[in-house]
This record gives sequence, structure tokens and C-alpha cells, in this order.
Amino acid sequence: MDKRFKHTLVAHKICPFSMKVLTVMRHKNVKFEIKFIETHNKPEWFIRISPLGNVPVLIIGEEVVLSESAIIMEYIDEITPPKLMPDDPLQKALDRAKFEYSNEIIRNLYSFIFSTEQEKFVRQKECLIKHFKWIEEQLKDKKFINGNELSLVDLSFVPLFVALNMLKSTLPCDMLKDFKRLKIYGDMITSLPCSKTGRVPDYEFLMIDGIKTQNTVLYRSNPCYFNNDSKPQGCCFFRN
Amino acid sequence: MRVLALMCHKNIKFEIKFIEMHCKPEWFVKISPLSRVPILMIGDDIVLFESDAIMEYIDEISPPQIMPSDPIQKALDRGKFEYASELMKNMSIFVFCYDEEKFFKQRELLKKNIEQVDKWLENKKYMNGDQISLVDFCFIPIFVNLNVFKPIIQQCELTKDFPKFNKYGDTLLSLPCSKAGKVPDYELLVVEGVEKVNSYLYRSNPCFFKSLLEINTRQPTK
Repeated sequence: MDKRFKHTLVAHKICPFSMKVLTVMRHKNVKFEIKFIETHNKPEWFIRISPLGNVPVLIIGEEVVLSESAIIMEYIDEITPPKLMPDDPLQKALDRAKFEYSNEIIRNLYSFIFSTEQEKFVRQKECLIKHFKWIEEQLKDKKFINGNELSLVDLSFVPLFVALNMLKSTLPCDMLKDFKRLKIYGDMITSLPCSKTGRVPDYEFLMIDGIKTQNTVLYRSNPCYFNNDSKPQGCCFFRN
Repeated sequence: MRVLALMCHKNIKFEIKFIEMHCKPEWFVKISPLSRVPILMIGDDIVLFESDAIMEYIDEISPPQIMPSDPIQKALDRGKFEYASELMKNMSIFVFCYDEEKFFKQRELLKKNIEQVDKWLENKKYMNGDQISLVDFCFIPIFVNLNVFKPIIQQCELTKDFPKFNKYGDTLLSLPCSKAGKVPDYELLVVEGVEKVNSYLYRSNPCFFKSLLEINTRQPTK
């Protein structure tokens, strides 16, 4: 293969932004290599090439380095027609704003999951509920965010629902229980093949391990669920 | 500011509403999902948020486009939009932080950011060559800000080793849209903000800020 067009994705195994890009690349059947790195111990070669030091990063050929998940997603979409991104400038702008919105809600969720302070935990949960309401409003009665067809913006919400599913399977709590439309949407996009192949097989294990080892609020208030002890009936934290 | 500068450059007709970030009006909180500025309202119902999304939209509806059409170049430029935002955030912390240790840490971080921009510029007039492109607008607010504190910036040798960066700044600041893209009392508002939080920058340069406040309050609003 012409080395100039070789694509190498640099990612972190439980990074949701890396997952977004991986999901798109799987959906579009792009040929690429993947390198996983540890974000708390970044290798020197990575620090040298990544201006902001964040994952994911897409290396094209030997020298071209793209960063930021939304940017990489749009690039991949453009080089693999038919595009999932709309052509209309206004719709495109609305979708790009939603990419950022999905980043914000995902950051909230991860902050909630890995929070070690009670106050922050509760605050993040309230933010999340607000965000869920907004996405539900955007969805209305549509199958996908933009209507009947999948678009790029739907793939940017995949990591949100993958993480929520992980929580649901570990704790008997469904954060989406009051958001019927969102639940249906989430189930649908996580059942897409690229949703499954867009993450590492040990994603759930690594997330749960992180929740335990960082001694998060989630772990401290529900140790039985994380330690495979005999599970009591109710969820001891999410009782409203 | 980047959006305003672009809209002035492209001669877009628009209305502008200013709001206070520490006291956001209810109508704004209702329509802006992330409660951030800028937002662009189109007609009565459509609300665009995120400065980069707004900029690309404005560019697309007002040809000729100044965003490249090649997918890789576009992606590289968008990466620079994000980098400019990061630089701006670091500058904000540098200007408004209270703590001495944090101030010096930010200064080192800023120097690294500026070095990267300097490297990207090579010897070009603009980021992508002789012609202005969308990415250049993202750097305008950085230079507008640096200009407010020019003598201090020179004193702490923040940009001394980066002549390409400085020349680029002069080029951008001389554009008409650079001047039109900021409110006339911008400098005064920034300086008042710095004084209010009693930042390290303010405390270590009291005479400079006193004279800056005097100059800006004496000048009539253009």
C-alpha cells in the first residue's frame, strides 16, 4: 500500500472520543492500523507529534497528523463517499454544533462515572439529566437525529450510550428510565455493527476496573456490584 | 470576536446583542444548549452555536470560500481552530490568574503554544500562504489581547524569540475586520476585569494598569 495514504489511529482503550473515530472507521470500512497508548504515561513519540497531547490522533502517511475526534470523523467521512454529513451549510453547522454537544455530555458522563467527590457526583448527574432532556427534544419522533437515515452526528453519540449500557449492566439502575425516546435511540445506535466493533473487547472490564481503582463515589456507594458479591435488590445510590 | 471579525470581513448584514456572562438573560439560557457565546440566530427559530461551526457556515454562504476544499487541508485547518482556542484559554488564565506560581506556569505553557504557531507559519504571510483563510480569523483575538498588554508582554519576553509570530500578529491586526471585529471599549473592559480580580499580572504592574485605565476612560467611545 502507498505509504502516503496509510492511516494510523492513535487511541486510548476507554477514551470515548477515540471510540467515536473507531466507530466511524469501522462503519466506513477504512483500512487502518491502530496504536493504543496510556494517557497518564504518554510516549515521547506521541508528545512530539500531537500539538495538544490528546487522543485520538490520526496519522496519515508518515507526517500528516490530524487531531480532535470531530475533525477526524469529518475527514474520514469525506474520503469515503457516500457522505454521512449533510451538504446543506445550515444543516452541516447544526450537526457540527451537535458534535460539540455530544463531547460535552460525554465529558459530563465520564466525570460522573469517575467522580471521587460526592458534591461533584451529584452536580454531574443533574447536568446529565438536563442534557438528556435536550437530546430528547432534538430527536422528537425521528429514528435518527436528522430523520430516517443515519448521519455522522448519530455516530458521535455512540460512546454515550455504550457507557450508559455499561452502567446499566453493572448496577441495576437505568439513567434513561424517564427518557423513552432516548432509550429507543440509544438501543438502536448501539445495535449497529460499527458500535460493537468500534470499541475494544475489554472496554467494560477496563471501565469497571477504573471505577474501582480510582475509589470513585460510584464504587464507594455500591461496592457489592463491583465486587461480584451477592447483589441486594435495590441500587443504593440512585434512589431519588 | 473571531465570528464578529469574519462577519465584518464578509460584509454580512446582522444585528448584534451583547450579554453579560455572569448574569445570563433567561431568553439566552433557554435557546443556547451549552449557555455559551457566541450563538447565531437565523430567523426566529434556528440557533447555531459553537464559534467554529458558525464561522464555517458564514464562510459557506458567502462565497468565495476562504476555507480550503481539500479534505486533509480542511482537517489540518480545523485542528488549528482548536489550537487557537486552547492558546486563547491559556492566555486568559495567564492574564486573570491570582496565583504567582500559576502565572509563571502559564507563561511557559504560552511560550510553547506560541512556538508551535511560529513553526506552522514558516515564512508565510498567513497560515496557508499569501491569501487569508478561515483559520487566520481564529488567531485575531489572540493578537488583539496581546496588544492590550504589549509593554508587559515585551517585558516578560513572551514573544521575543518568535519574530514570525509577531509579524503575523501585525499583519492580522492591520486588517480592517480586526478593528471592526471588536467593540470600541474592548481594552477598557479587559483592563477593568483584570483589576476586579486583582490578578497577579495586575498586582505586578500597577502603574501600567493605572495609566491604561486613565487612557481608556479619557478616550471618547468611537
